[in-house]
Amino acid sequence: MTLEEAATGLDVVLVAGADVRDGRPPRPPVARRLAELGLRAGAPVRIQNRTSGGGAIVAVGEDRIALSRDILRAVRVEPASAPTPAPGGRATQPGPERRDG
Amino acid sequence: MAEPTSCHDEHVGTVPQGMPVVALVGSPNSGKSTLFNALTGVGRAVGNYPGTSVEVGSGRWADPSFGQVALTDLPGAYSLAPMSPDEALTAELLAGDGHLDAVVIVCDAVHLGRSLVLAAHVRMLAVRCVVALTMTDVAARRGIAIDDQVLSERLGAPVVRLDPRRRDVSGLARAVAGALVEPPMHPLALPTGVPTGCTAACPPGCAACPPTTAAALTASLTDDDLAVAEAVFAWVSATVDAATRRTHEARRTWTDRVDRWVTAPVVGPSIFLAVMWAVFVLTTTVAAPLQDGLDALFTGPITEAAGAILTAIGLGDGLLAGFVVDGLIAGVGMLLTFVPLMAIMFVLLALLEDSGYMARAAVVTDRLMGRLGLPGRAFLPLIVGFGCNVPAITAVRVLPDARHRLLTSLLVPFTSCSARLTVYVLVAAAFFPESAGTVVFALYVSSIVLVVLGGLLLRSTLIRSLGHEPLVLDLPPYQRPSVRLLGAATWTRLRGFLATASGIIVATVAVVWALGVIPAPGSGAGLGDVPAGESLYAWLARGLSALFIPAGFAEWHAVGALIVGFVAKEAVISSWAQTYPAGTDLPDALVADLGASSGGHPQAAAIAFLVFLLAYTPCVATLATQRRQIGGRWTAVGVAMQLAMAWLLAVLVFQVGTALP
Repeated sequence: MTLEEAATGLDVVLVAGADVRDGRPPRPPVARRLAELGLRAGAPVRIQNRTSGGGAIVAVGEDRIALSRDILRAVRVEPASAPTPAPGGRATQPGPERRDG
Repeated sequence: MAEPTSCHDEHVGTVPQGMPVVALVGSPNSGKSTLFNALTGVGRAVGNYPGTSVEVGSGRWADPSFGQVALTDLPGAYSLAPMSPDEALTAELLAGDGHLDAVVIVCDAVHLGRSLVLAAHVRMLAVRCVVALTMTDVAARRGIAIDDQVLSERLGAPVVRLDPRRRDVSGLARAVAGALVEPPMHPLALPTGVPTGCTAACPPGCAACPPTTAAALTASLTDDDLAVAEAVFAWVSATVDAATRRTHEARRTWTDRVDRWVTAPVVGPSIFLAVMWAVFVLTTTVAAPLQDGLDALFTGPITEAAGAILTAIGLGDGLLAGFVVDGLIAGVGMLLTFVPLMAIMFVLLALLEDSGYMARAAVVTDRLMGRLGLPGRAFLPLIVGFGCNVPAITAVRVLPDARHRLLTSLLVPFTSCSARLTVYVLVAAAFFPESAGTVVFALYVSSIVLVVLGGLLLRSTLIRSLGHEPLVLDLPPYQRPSVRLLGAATWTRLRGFLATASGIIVATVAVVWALGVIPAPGSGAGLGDVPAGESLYAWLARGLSALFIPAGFAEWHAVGALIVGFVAKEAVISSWAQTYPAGTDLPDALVADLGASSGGHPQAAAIAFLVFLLAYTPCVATLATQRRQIGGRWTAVGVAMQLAMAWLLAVLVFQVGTALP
C-alpha cells in the first residue's frame, strides 16, 4: 500500500524510498531530501494525523515531517512486522498504539 | 585595532586580517541560531551575503582560550546536496578555498539521525570540525541517551554537549581553540559503498580519499546512482545505533496533540486565519496610534522648536530654515514613524518562528498557495502588505528559499496598503458619489488579481527556475520563545532597517522639498518664494503628464500627486491641498481638471488614475526595504515592472472606459 492508504496511528515500514520514475512528482531531489529526513527503505513510520489539504504529519522516530498528498502517494509501505495482523485487519485497531500517559 | 561593532549589510561577510574564521552549520531548527546569538552577544549583524539574497549572520566570538574569532552563521541546511539557494550558499562557503579555519557542526540530540547526515557530509571535507550537541536535555526527557564518546569516535571529531539556554559555552570554546592549532582534519572515510583505500595516515587530499571539496562532494551526492548518498545513510544509521540508547519508550508529546488540531482540516485553516487577523490588526490598528503620535511630535513640537531656534539665531525665514524643517526634520520624522510598526512586525515574526507555529502555517496554506505557485508561508507577507508594504517585505524572510523571497518581495508592492486607501476614498467619492464603496472594493479585488498576474508573469519570465515542489517540511516541536532572544533579534533587525532605510528616505523627502521651492525655468519668481504652479515640481509634472495622455489624466496636479506618491502615498492628498489655491473645493477641482484632460470622460480617467496609483511603486520606504532584502538590481527590476504594469493597465482602463457607451 502507499503511505496515503495507511491508517492513521498504524506502525508501518517503508518498502522503498519515494518512487520517482516516469516523471511524476516528486522529482529525484525531493526523494533525496525525504531520505535525508529519515524516510528511507526500512524506516519505521506512522501517520500521526491528516492535515488540511490532503497531506499528513508523519512520525519517523522523534521527527515529525509534514508531507503533501503527492508524496504520500509516492511512498510504498507495509505494516510493521511485530503485531502480525489477524484476518480482519486488527492491526488498524489502536491497541498497540496506546502509549499515552 | 578591532573593528567596532557594525550593523551595516555591507559588513556581513567581511573579516579583519588575521582573525580566524569559524562557521556554524546545522540543519534548520537544530538550535544553531540560538547558539550563534549566545556566542556573539551584541556585536553581530544579520544581512544578505554579498551578491545574494541569502541571509547570514556574522559576529565576533571572544573567549580567553582563543582570543577572538569571526563567527559566521551559515544558512540552515539538511545536507550538502542543496535544494535551495540558501543551502547552496552553505555548500559554496564550505567549499571556499580554505578560508574557513574551523566549522562547528550543530547536531540536535533529539533528531540525531537527521543532524548526522549533514555532519557526515561536512566531515567528508578536509576542514577542522567540532561537533556541538544541542537539546540533550529534551532528548533525555524523551528517553534518548547519547554516548558522546562513541559519537566522537565515529565522527572523528570532538563532541561537546551544550545547553545554550544556560549560556555555558566554555567547553565548546576550548574544543574550537584545540582544533584551530591542529592541521585540517583528514576527511571521514565511509566504511561502506565508496571505494576508498584510505588509512588514517593518508595526507589530506589523497586520491583514494572521499571528496575534499564541497563542490566535488555535492556532485557525488547528487549523482544519479546515489552510491555516496546511500553510503552516508548507512553510516548514519549505524552511528545512531551505536551511539544512542533508549532509556524508555517515547510517548506522544503535547506537540503531537496540539498539531492534531492546528494542522487539521477546517480547524487548522481557521486558527491560521485568526493568527493572520491578529498580525494584521497589530501591524495596523495597534501600530497606527504610535505612528500618529510620532508624526504629531515631529510636525508639532519638534518642527516648532526647530523654527524657534532658527528664528532666534536669525535664520527664521530663509531657505535654510525651510530645508531643515520641511526637508530634514520631515524626512527623519517619516523614517521614525516606521519604527514602532517595524518593531511590532519583528517581534511578531520572531514569535511565530521561534514558537514553531510558522511551520504549521506553511502546512495549512500549502495547497491554496501552491495553486498560485507560491509556498504556504508567502501568505503572511502578502496579508501584512494590505496594512503596510514595508514590514511585509521584511516578513518574506520566513520563506526558506531565496527564490521564493525574491518572488514574494516583488509581489508585495501590488498588495494595496492602507495609505492608498485614503486616496481611493477621496477620489471615488468625488467621481462616483453613488457607488464609491463599490469602486474601492473593486480596487482591492484588482490588487489580488495583480498579485496573481504578477506572480505568473515573473515565474514565466525572470524567475523560471522555480518549480512547485510538493511539501516536505520538518516540524520543530513547539516551544516557548525566550524573551531575551526575542528582544535581541528585534533590536538587531530594527537597527539594520534604520541603517539601510534612513539615507534613502531622508534624501528623497529633501529632494521633493527642493523641487517645490526652486522656480521652474523661465519663471520670474525667486528661489524659495515660488507659487506652486511655477515651481520646478509643477514644471516637471507638466512635462511628465504627456506620458499620461492615453490614460486620460495628463494634468499636472494629478501627475504631480503621483510624483510625491512615489515618496509616500500619505503625501498625495496633501500635495493637492498645497497645489490648489486655498479655498478650492478639492473634489470639484479634481472632477473639472480630469474632465478637461480626458476629453469629457472624467470617470474613466479617475478609474485609470486609481489603477495606476494601485499598481505603481508604493513608497521609497518600500524600495529601501526591498533593496535590503533582494538587492538594488532586483529592486530596480521591480520598479520597472510596477511602472510598466501600472501604465499599461491605466491606458487599458481609460481606453475601454471611453469606448463604452
